[in-house]
Parts: sequence; C-alpha cells; structure tokens
Amino acid sequence: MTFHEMNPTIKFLTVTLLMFGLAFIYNPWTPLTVFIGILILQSLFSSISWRRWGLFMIPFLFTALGTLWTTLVFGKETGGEILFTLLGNDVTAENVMLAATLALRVLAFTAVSLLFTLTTDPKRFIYSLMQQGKLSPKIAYSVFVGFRFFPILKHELMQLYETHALRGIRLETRLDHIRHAPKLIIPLLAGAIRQAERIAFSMEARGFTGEPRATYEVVPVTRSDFLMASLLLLLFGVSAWLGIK
Amino acid sequence: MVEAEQLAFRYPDKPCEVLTDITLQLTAGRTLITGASGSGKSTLFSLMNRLYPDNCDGIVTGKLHLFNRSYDVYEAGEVNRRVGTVFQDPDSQFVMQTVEEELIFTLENFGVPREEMMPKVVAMLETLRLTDYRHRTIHDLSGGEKQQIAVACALIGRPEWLLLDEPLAHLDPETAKRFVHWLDTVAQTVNVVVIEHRPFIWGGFFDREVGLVNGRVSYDGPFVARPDYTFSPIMVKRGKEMLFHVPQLERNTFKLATSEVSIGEGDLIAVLGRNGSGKSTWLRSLARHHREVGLVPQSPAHLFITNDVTRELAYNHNRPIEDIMERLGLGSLRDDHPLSLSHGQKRRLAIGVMMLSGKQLIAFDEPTAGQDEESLRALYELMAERTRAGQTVLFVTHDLSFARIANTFYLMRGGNLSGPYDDSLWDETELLQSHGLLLEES
Repeated sequence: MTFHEMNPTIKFLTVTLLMFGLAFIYNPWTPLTVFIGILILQSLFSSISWRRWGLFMIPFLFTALGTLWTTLVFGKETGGEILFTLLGNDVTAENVMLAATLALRVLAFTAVSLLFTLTTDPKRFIYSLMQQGKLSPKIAYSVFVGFRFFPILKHELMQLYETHALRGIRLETRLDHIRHAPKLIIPLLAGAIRQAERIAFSMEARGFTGEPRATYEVVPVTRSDFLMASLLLLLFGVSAWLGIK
Repeated sequence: MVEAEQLAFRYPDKPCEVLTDITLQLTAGRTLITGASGSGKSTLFSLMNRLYPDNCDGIVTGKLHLFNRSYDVYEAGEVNRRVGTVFQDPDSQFVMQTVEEELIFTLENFGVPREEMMPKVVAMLETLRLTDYRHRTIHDLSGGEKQQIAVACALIGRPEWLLLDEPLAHLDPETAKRFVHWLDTVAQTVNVVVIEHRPFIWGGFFDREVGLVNGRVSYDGPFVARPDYTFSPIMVKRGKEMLFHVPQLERNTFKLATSEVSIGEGDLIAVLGRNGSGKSTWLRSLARHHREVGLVPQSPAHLFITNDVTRELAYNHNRPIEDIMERLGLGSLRDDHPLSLSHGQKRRLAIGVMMLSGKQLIAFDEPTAGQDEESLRALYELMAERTRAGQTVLFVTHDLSFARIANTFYLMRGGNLSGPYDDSLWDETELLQSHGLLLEES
C-alpha cells in the first residue's frame, strides 16, 4: 500500500479536498500538523527521494519565509501587548500568529501538492481520469501527444537558435537567448501546427475517433485506495480539531 | 476497393479542382500512384482512407465507392479498420512513447478485447520480424525503423489494404531498399497502394501504376520499372584553394573526427553519407567554425528572422539588395512574409541572404529530401547558375542520383570524413558499398 499505487483520480480528489479545507482554516496549528503529518505519511507509504523533495521545497520555503517576514514587518496595528519591535514595527502576539498561519499554510500546501506530484505517473493519471473521471479520450490523447511533442519542440528550438546564431545574431549568454526568444515563436508555432495536424491525421487513420474505445491499461479502484484517502482525511480532521481546540 | 467515376474534388476556399474527372478502379494487388507535387495524388490518397473530405470540408462530386459502398455512408473510423495508412514523416505519426504502447493504441481504437491485445502485439511483431523493438522508445529509433513500426501499427488491425504515402522520402537509399525488401516479404496477404514520385527504388514491387497529372489520370496500366532521374555534372572553374578545419566533436555516443577540407573557389562539392553518418553534424560544425560558410538548413524557413522578404535580405548589413533580389527572382515577392513562400522560393531567399552577408561558401543540408522531379530540376538550375557566377557551393546528401551534379566528392561514415574524390568515385563500387551508398543489385 503506497501513494504510488493509489488510484490517481482518488488521490487527486482527496488532495484537492484537503487543500480546500486548509484554505478555510485560519490558525497556525492546523497547517503545522498537516505538514508534519504529510511528512510522516510520506515516509511511511512512499519511496519519494528526499533529495528531490528537498529541491522542490526550496523555492516554497523561501516563499514561506518571505511571507513570515513581510507579515511581521508590515503587519497592521493591533491592540495588545507588544512582544518585540522589528524594523520599527511593533509586533504583537496576534501579528505573530497571523504570520505563522500564512507561512505554515504555504508549507502545508506545498507538502500536499508534492505528495501528489512526486507519487503520480502522469500517464497513469490520464488513464485513470479517462476511466474513473470520464475524461474524453480526445482531451486525454491530446495530452499524450503533448508529452511526445516536448522533445521534438526542444530539438526544433535548438536548431532555430543555432541557425540564427549563424546569421550573426549574438546568442552567447543565457540572457541573449531569452531576449531572442520572441522572434522564434512564430517559426516554432508554424512548425508545431503542421506537425500537430499530421499527428492528428495519423491518429484518425488508425481508427481514433474520440469515441469510447477499449482500454488496455486498466487503473483499478481498490479498497486500499479508500484506506489511503481516509488516512489523509483523518489527518486533516485531527489537524482541524487541534487547531480549533 | 476504390471505385471512382467522374470523381472531382476541390477545397472549399479554392475555385479550381484538385482532382478532375477521375475514373478509376483499384483492385487487389500492389498499385503505385505517381505524380508531381500538386498533381492531386495526396488528395486522392486521403479520400481513400476517408480522412477527406471531412477534415477539410472539401467538396466531392461524382461517384466514389469504398468497398462497394459510397464513401459518405461510412461512420467515422469505419473505413480505417479496413485500410491501414503509413505517412511520409517518421516523426509525426506516433502518439505514445514505446512501440508496444503504440501498437496497443491502434487495438484500443478498434475495440479489441483487452485479453487479446498483448497476444496480437506479440504475434504482429513476430510476423514482421520486429520483436526486438517491442520495448524500445520510438523517439530513439532511426527513420527507417520508425517507418517499419508505422507499418506494424497499420497492419495490426488486420486491414485489407495498406496505403503508404511516400514512405521512403526521408530514408537513405540503402535503408529504403531494405525497407522495400522487408515490406515485400511481410506484406504478402495485404493489398498495397503506394504514393511515390521516385519509384526506381521499389524495383519490381508493383504490378499496376496510376499516373496523375494536374488532377487527372494520365496513365493507368501495368507498372513499368524505370531508372531514377538522371542529372549531369555541372562544369565548374576552380579558383584558389580555401582551407577549412573542422575540429573533433563528441555528442553522447557519437564522435565526429577532426577533418580538414581544401575547397577550390567556385567548386561544387557533394558530401555523401547515410542517415546518421554524421554528415549534417559535420556541416553544422563547419558553419559554426567558419564565418565564411553560409548554411542553408534542410528547412530553409529556420533561417528567417524578419517579417518580409526585403527586410530579410537587408538584415544586418547595408549593402544594396536590389540586384540580388532580381537575380534570384524574388522581386515580385518583396513584401511577402518569408514563411508564406513556397519551398523553392524559401531556398532562393536563403541563398540571397547568404550571398548578401558575404558568405564565400554556401552549404546546403539535405536539399533534396522529399522533393519531386520538378523541384530537383529547379535546384539543379539554381546550383548551376550559382556556380557559373563563381559561387562555391557544397551540399550534403544521400541522394545518389542528384549527387552526380557535383565536381568534387567527400564521403562520411561513422563521423569520419574521407576525400576528396573526383567523379571516378562512381566506379569505386566497393568504396561506395562500404559507406552504405550503393545498392547491391538483387
């Protein structure tokens, strides 16, 4: 029983529900318990590489710290006992609570979304959305083709940069590349549209109509999916109770 | 399978007909459809697998029967169960990541019961002798391998007919020959229709031929094997020598050896090699290291930066452009968007750009890929005209018929460049064979 095996649609629904709930609760304890709880569940029921997780976490950690800092420094005046003064702003206990709430909320959201993204294979997610979520095959297979398109587009982009460099455009630094990017959009799109049309023709010639079709890759819904979902919801329930108490 | 009487077709936004008065009956066997670009052969092809008229809102008049029923009574996808299609571009006919998933995609479309799918995949790959590819990622396969997989994907639905639209356009001659040989042995029970404007490489594959000219049937009868187009060498005057050094280059598993070429001014040079031999990599490296080399990529559109022909020619310098614009026949197109030009016009614009930026050597990457006879002749004329004017021209190709126009030759194999050779190269059968450039006569 791991989060990797969990049915992606059910996982997605649970995670969405959890985030929705988090958005309505306004105290530092709930997001803190959710954050810690997710970390515990993650280490018990998944094989996520913590290194990868840490790397993804970095930008959000900065966001959280930034939120904390700005809320403390620019927090609005509230009555009550002043705990300390930060850059000329009097900080009350209420200010601290507010800042912690906002910062921890960022962390909790990140932990929940990383739990989903790092344990979900995009292909399996799409299959599951088709089977359990009744997603139209037209949309689902557009996404699959999109996956295939990335390396092709990247290759095309590299070629464009290379030929443009040969025409004497300065493309030495990364900044040069970014500055030149708008000029590449039209040729890149022109090529992509032609390719997309060809792929669409090819799909249709092989009998793809967008109507319901057979499936080989069955993504099942099992009892352990509901178990995992309950576990996550239970965590939220406990956290909410801790926060309100 | 196809029965047409006085069939005509036109696109909704164009006044003239693409196909006119087609009366044709395709019967079992192997049929070749030939014709120049714009002769309507691709349109006819798309009517056969019923991608048209629905996908382009085209207007069909006359009678068109597929499998003894009028084309318009079929449901979407119904014809495609009986007709498998392979397209020209190996890079844009797949949906999934691996070969196995790709084959299953077709079976899913046809509603094959789940438990029958994997046995069918295994059996099909076995029959086509492609079992080793089952778990390979499609993106990593070569062009020839991709076309074989495309055939597998078309055949796995057990169609009665197999249509192939210029399947060899992007393959080098040896790979193409192997593909034809392979198709000949595996496609024993299925009827085949192929669009091809250079049928020589198919040998005696066909038993019937339909020729199209300007949307009309110009020939309908037994297939006549014929040699490829021939091109005569262009005479050049060689001036002083220029030395180009291309350093060693390593990319993943591929290694381009260091090379040095001495090129006479005004010469016409061909660099020959198979797909994946490193000739395009070499050419790009040459252009990167020498400012006097102007590269015309396989799709010349990649070069263009501005929004009209005039600005494109005047880009980055202040020399007068009028003279060259007229000489290349671009005068009437001066305000057009470079991307809206035809392939031949794009190529001329690319040459203009190179000439105006003072490039001494114009280097073409695979200029013949997917071109019909008329545009090959136009390319020939262009190169002849340029060399007469004293311009040095180099091109990289695997097109052995076209390569004969050159005066000096280099060969590329596994990242190693050898040469120069003169036209006695064509008698060195063993040398050419060892570079995968000459077909063993079978």
